[in-house]
Amino acid sequence: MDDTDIISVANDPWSIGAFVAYLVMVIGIGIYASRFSSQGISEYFIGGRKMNRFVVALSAVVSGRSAWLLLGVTGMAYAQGPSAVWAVLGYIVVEVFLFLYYARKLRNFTENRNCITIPDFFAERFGDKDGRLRIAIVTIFLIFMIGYISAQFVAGGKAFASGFGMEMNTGILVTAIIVVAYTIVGGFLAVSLSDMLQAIFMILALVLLPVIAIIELGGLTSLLQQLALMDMMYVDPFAISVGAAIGFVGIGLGSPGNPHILSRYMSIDDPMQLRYAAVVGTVWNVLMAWGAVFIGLAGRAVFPEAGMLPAADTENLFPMLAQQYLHPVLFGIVLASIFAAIMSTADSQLLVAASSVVRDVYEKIIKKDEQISQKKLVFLSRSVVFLLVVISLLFGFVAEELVFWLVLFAWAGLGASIGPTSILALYWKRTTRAGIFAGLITGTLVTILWYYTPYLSNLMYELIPGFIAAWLATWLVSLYTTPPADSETSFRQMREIQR
Amino acid sequence: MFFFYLVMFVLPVSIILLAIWLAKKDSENDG
Repeated sequence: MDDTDIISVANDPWSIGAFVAYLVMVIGIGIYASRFSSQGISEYFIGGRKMNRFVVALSAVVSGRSAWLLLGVTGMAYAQGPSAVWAVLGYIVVEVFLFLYYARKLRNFTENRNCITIPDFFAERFGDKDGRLRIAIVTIFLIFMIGYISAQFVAGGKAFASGFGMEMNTGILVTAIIVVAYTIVGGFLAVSLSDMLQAIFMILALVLLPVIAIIELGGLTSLLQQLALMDMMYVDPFAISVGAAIGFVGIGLGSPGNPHILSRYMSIDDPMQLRYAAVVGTVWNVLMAWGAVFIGLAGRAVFPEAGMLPAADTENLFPMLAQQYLHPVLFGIVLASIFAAIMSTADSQLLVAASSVVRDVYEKIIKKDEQISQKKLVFLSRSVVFLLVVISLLFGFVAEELVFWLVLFAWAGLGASIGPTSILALYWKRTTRAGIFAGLITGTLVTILWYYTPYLSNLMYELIPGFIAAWLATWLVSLYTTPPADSETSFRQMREIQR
Repeated sequence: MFFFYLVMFVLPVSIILLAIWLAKKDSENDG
């Protein structure tokens, strides 16, 4: 690693102290949650559906926002100005509707049918007796999730390298060890509670930093004048092509297909409280996203040339700006917030991937007619989490350079396959099992083929055509096949709340 | 600059107000 890559705080005890305090809190939460999570796999994987509205709101929001928001969006706003807003607008609006409408149906149905995973939901909704639908969904999860988790570990390694001057591979390993420690021990409760803590760290960093930076720059008017003098693009939110804007807003289509977000909705104690969660989640989403864009704008005024950033990498803007303007303790919090974003995503994804192996493959297919003790299932779940971390780590080490594109690719793949199929499964009684198969396969294939065709991938983000194609495939095949006999009952159970 | 203020200030506030309005409407529908 080049020396210019280092934004080292290794010699500042205040920053290190703040960062270590954050880590101690996260590990402490894992230990606190361990007893509850050991009770059974429902507790381990969806917190026994006992999470309150505030926890669900924050956990759903920060699980979906990885380091992409803190490093990627800030860098994007630095490079192209306020038009970066279109990249955050789509998912924020989509998630308002998910919280308010989609989530309640999913939550009610999954409780009434005792489902604890997304493949469980599809299997119950479409009477998947031979387990093929489960296998198809679990396969899609694992294809996209391993790379997604690896990307988070590599991002952690990068942050350790730039923040503490640590060797990249050591950083990747340390990130994985921290995540595995509290996820294995504490399960869903630990992950959700730590998400809350991480949400607070993230919002502190994303709101405080731009406010302080803009004040230091002489206020908003002065900032805008400086930016306008450099290039009008830095003050024009419409300085973007229509195709690019559609692609940016289309990122939002990924939210209903990413199971680590959906499992949060299933965990709420009272489904009527999802409307409260919608408001809290939206406020959090908006503040974090617009904060990230303002950081990019302030950053452009402070560092007019990208060459002034370490390794001329715009993704280094966030820690650099923080180091410039914040007290070392707050700078430690900013560094912690980067890890918070990484860990809150990685831990949720680990649990989802492990749950699909243990619940959907082992319990529901391999040991279909056997009684397995909850203790054994929890032990197995913890072992699978560990195994997945090892696989993701190996993948991360081997394909360090490759993993970053996997984040957007995995977001697209899951969004295009699970998104339209789950929406139709919840909202259209005529949806059939064959239609779901068609949607899953079409969504996955179109995403992959679009991505690998240079002309098409330059045209638009693969999620949008993948999502539309999967929607059409599910709809068309469903029209010509027979829906499950119990569709009416299923729809009634989506409205019924168990008391 | 008009569009800047519109997108950077009015738009985020509108999204939050939309969420509040929809949540309120949803709660009224439940009686």
